Amino acid sequence: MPSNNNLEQQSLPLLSKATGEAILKTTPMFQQFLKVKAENEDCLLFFRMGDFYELFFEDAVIAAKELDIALTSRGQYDGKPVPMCGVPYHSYMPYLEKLTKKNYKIAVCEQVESPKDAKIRGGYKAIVQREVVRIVTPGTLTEEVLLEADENNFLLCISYSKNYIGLSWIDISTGELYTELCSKNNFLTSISRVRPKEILAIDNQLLEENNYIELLKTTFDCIITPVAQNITHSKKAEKLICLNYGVKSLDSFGNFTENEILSCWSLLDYVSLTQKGNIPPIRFPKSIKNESTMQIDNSTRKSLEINQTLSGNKKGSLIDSVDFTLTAVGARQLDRDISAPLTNLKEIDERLDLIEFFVESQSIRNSIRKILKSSADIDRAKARIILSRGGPRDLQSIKL
Amino acid sequence: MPLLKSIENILSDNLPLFAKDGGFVKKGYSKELDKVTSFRDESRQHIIEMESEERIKTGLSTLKIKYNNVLGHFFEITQLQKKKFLQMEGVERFIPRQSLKGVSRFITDELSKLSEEISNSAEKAIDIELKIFEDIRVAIKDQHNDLASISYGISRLDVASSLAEIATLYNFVRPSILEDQSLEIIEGRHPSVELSMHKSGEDSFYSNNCNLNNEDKIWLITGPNMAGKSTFLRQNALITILAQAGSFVPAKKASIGIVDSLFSRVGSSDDLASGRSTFMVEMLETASILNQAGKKSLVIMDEVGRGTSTYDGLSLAWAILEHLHNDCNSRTLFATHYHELTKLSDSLKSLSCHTMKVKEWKNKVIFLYTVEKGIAKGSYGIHVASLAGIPNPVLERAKNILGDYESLDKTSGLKKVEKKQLSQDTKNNDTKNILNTIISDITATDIDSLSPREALEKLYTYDKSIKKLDK
Repeated sequence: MPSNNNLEQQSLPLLSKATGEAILKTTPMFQQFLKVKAENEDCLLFFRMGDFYELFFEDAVIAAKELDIALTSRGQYDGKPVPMCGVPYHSYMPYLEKLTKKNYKIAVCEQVESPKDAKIRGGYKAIVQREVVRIVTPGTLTEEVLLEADENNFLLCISYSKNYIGLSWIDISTGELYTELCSKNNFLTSISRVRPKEILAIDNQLLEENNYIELLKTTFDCIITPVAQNITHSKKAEKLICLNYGVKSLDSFGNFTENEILSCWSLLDYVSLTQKGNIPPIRFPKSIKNESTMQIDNSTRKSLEINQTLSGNKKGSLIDSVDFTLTAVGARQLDRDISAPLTNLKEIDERLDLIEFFVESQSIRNSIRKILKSSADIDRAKARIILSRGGPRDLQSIKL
Repeated sequence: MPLLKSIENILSDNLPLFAKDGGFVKKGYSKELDKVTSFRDESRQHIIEMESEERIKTGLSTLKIKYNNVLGHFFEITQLQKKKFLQMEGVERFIPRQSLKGVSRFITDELSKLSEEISNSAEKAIDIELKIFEDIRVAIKDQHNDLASISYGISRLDVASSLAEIATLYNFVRPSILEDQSLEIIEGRHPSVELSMHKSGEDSFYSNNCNLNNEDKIWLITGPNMAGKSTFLRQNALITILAQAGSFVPAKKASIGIVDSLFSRVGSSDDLASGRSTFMVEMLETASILNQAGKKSLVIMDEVGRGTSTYDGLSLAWAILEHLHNDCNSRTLFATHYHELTKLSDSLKSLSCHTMKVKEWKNKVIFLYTVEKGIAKGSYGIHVASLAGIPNPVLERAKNILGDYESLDKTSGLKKVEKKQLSQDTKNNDTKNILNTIISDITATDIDSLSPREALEKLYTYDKSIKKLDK
């Protein structure tokens, strides 16, 4: 990620704070690019130009290497040619997939007016207005090609204060949202149960003193993003969450501790930021009690090959072996069940009762499985449609 | 739910990828849309009619009406016919638009009017379709919680019915879940190994019993490598996971006292990337187990202490077992190659020794992959080495060395072996010294001048010093 202030980074021409324009004189197009880039420094900027998304400067160098596409140049800046590469807008998904899998964040910047309108607005020399419409990060994906059908795609947020750690995690492609209160001793175990694709850590002194960012980086191989703590008061955060759901209080959804509320708000805030206000359907938050599931830490999961084998493949793992499900929602549910065995006798027996029923009633089982075979991924189709990223085929998935 | 019903009535059979392509709304759903599309289709019919009319009028059989995004609809004629065409009467109504290498393109007022009508109605049709799409989108948004409940129901039915399918196909049983500290698994099998063998068409898999309870909390398992220790360890942990996740389990019978935390330290993998040594990783993980495991935990440990020197490792494993027994009080399966640890069964009352059954037959070793009470006779490492293709001379030499070790007292075996090596070295030196003395004595002596008695006396001295060496 181009986030470190190394030499190369400093060569990126920054904007003057006073005028909001590039320090060096350049074309209006580069002015516009640099301004948008400055607002999205930690992202690769996909800058829409006609039928292409173009990348410039360091972004172009990184993308050309990661995507194995040709690096060219366009114009000059500071006397040197500006590196450039691009991908066609109508088939950019595979490129996006490659980059998100490698833990990059991508800001998608679109043309928000037609060239005709631009000329009417600002004369024949005017360039079209562009805006970032979405930030694509590994934890905020919704497109089918970017997701694994049989796994959740969780974004998790950590809030650490007063000796407790609040976790909350969301899958915006399905709308599930959970929170959990942990201690310093068991929060890593809980995170390894969730297996998030991206972790947000609310940046504060406690986090820094304990060097948790480093600890998270060595324990989990996903992207870790520190986020600024803009709200420290949990009552205020709670109000904002309530506003989001259009309710008066969170009490009816369960008891949430301060840390859970703070992390939950930061999570929702980040989703809103990356989706540019286009909020996906989110279910009411559910607070998970730490002791309600069997504690299985990361190294135990690895050594028992629960989610993947020692060589890193899903095939041959426990979950893969017992996955006879027929639907994507079923596969994800099974994945969650096996990852989080229960500790409550009554709940376990309820599940076992249902299986016993299906073992004994073979004909009912067969007819249900026949129906299940034709069922589609309602959750994800629904999220895409509501985010206006879906097509008629997503509607058909909901039809049943 | 009215929404779900209406979706069924709205969608046509062949759906485009994107809503903006249009054509996804069924005929008969919207009167307004049908009117616009039929007008659009009629106009398209008009175009076809116009094409044949103009062909007759101009007499050009190759005259065509084509369409592209820039020009809209236009007439196209080949350059060969252009000359003839331009000389015709009434040709003024054709307005030239584009001249390419092989063809020329023209429009007429009549055609552009029709073309505009078509494009307007097509646009209108798509607008109407998009409006319908947006209406559904809003309806879905309003009902997203109900839809979530439906899909949750589907997911539960799918999970339960598919686990039932596995239970039926592969003889899984319903586990009894209890609120105590027991773990009794009769004829348990390793779920991943069994299911992957089934998938590849094999079906013989070994089953084993495991029975931990308050009186017998720790099983210390010795036995050769490759004999299935690790598989046994893992399968009990995996069966516990499946049971508490609410699944039937691969066993003849299983009753499981609820496990609140599961710890496993199996095998050793070098973590080169993070720069930590195997042993450091091993100890970090062991530390977290010893600090956290309690009476409702299940602990699996395989060959802990392997990553350091023999004495270090043995003493650590010894102390770890004592801690697990006395302080953590957890159900534990502990596999080791330190046979010395089996002595702990005397001092730790809830620890019992188990071993992987092995049969020796005609100098060969047969692994039976069965766990039984007792202590392993040997590690059979040399046997495994021969299976792996280690050259014969090396195997023979190893057998000799092993023989030496094993002939010594087991309790302090290694010390004795080291002593033996040490004394052997001094012995070698002594031999050399004595030989040297004897040789120098002989060379210094004039043998011819010796009397028979003197010669005999010298022989006795030599014999004495050599015999002294042997003691």
